[in-house]
Amino acid sequence: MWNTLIIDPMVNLLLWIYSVLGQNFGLSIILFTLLVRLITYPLTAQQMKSAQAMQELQKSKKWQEIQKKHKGDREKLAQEQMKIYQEMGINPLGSCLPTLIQFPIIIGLYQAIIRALAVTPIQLLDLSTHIYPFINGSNLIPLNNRFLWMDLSQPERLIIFGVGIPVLAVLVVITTYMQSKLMTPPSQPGEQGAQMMKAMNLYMPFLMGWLAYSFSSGLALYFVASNLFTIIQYAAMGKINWRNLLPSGKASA
Amino acid sequence: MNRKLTQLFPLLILLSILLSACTGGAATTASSWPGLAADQDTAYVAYNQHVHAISLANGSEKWRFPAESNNQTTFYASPVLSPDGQLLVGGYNNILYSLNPQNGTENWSFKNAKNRYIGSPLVAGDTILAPNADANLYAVDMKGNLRWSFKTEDAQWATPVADPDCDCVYLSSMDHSLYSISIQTGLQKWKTDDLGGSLVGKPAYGTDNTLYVGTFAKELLAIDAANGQIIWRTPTTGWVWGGPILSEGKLYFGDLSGAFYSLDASDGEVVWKIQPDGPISESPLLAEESIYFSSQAGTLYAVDLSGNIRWSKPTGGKLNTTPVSSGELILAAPTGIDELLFAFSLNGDQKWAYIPQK
Repeated sequence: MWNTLIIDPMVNLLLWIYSVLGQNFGLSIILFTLLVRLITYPLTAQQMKSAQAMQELQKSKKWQEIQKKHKGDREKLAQEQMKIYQEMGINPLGSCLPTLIQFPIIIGLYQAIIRALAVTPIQLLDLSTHIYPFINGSNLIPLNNRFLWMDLSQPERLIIFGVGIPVLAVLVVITTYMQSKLMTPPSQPGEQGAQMMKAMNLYMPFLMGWLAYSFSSGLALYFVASNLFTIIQYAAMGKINWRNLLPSGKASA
Repeated sequence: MNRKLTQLFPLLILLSILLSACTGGAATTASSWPGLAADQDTAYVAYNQHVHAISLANGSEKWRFPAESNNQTTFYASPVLSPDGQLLVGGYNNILYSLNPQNGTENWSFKNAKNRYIGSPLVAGDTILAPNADANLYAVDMKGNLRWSFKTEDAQWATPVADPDCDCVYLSSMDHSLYSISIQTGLQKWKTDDLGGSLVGKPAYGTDNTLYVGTFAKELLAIDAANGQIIWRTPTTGWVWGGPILSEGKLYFGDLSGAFYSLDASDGEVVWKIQPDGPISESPLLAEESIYFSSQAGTLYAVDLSGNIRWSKPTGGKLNTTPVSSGELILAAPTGIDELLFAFSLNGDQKWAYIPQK
């Protein structure tokens, strides 16, 4: 099921893009990422809408009042919060769900990259059974796994004076940090959510950087492209808080 | 927001674990099928973290190399016995080893390659020719010193074939071409045009100075060994992975669609074709007037030269390794089950099975 619905379409889409883009797998990953961002755009828009509604709700007088009123009774507080969600037609998971959608895409893409590059006999034998008939797989294989200085099937290191520098992993850390900072919504000082978001903004870039450092550079390329496309997408929608990048770290209001 | 974040943290950890699972065990999870060779009393199986030497008399283990498991060292290319008594085996750790076949001790190792050894080396005179996935054919002397290397445009997964008449080897490459290379100088004599698909099987060489090779473009081709020109090409149903074997003017080979063919070597006409139970990725074995081959479905077949199945033996695992004969035994090395090696009589009776101790 996972193969049929996720991996096979991804592998074949990558191969098709590869065939029309002059057999450049790096460009294929970048274009694939752009397509994924476009396809998941409705989810992204929904996420932003939900996040905005949640922020407005949390600023409302009614919300503040029930926080104070039921401070010591978490169960009652939860019930009251749910009531408000229903009244206002807000899905509390609405902003979370689109993020979760990314996980099968990331895992699927990683498997699709490894499967498409097929650097061992078992991988190649496996790939041969998953290529759709309209893709001329025999002509494309083996895929050219070189892109710029990278071997897309291997973790990336740029050798400078004999030292391997993980340039892409650094770029993943920077762009993930930029993305999370630029999209951090305005928050109230001292708010617990703001504290967690701050921790998250620090934690996420390093986690993604570690993934980029450890796994095939094709995945790291996806991370960088995805981060940049997301920033561009949000900027085009006018939802970016550029001032968040300032050293003061104060979120713009 | 809190709820979102508290849910996200464990998911991030889960993502890391899932991604790690994809490669974390790569060194210990088999990434190919076993390599197999045998002399008159010992079988040598290269699989995962060891090369196993197994007594043909009773299936007991004589030695394994290295003695201790090492996640960074794995073997899948078929070992090769050289005329001067070395056991040559290439590893997925980019190293070509020479072992003493008596006890598995290391004679020397060659470490110049930058990628895996997937194809077996060829010994031609006093030169070892080792194809590597880094796209180089390494020529080393019998003590492991580099003589020359020859680079193709893509990985080399197939053992080359020597032609003593021209003092050259014929080399399949995944770059869609077949090459002729001088053994003495390492210089290219000729290269075919793009044959339409990768070549990962060892070519068959006929006394009529013709080479026969299968490609991923679903074809078997006859190539003039003098100049690399195509003589004929015959379409197949699936990708041709394992190289054909040639005997008395007939070619025998299988493809990934599961078809097994006999072609007339003179013109490529199909003599007969059968359809066993699964994709065939390895070269067949010709022994005692029978052709032995296996399917990925795990069945070992013996067919006569007219294409009639004499017997078939399911092993319960997957079979992608070319069967090997030694004396009255046919050896098959499956994957996916505890047994690493089966020994059958020429009539298909199982003699013993070898299960490696953990």
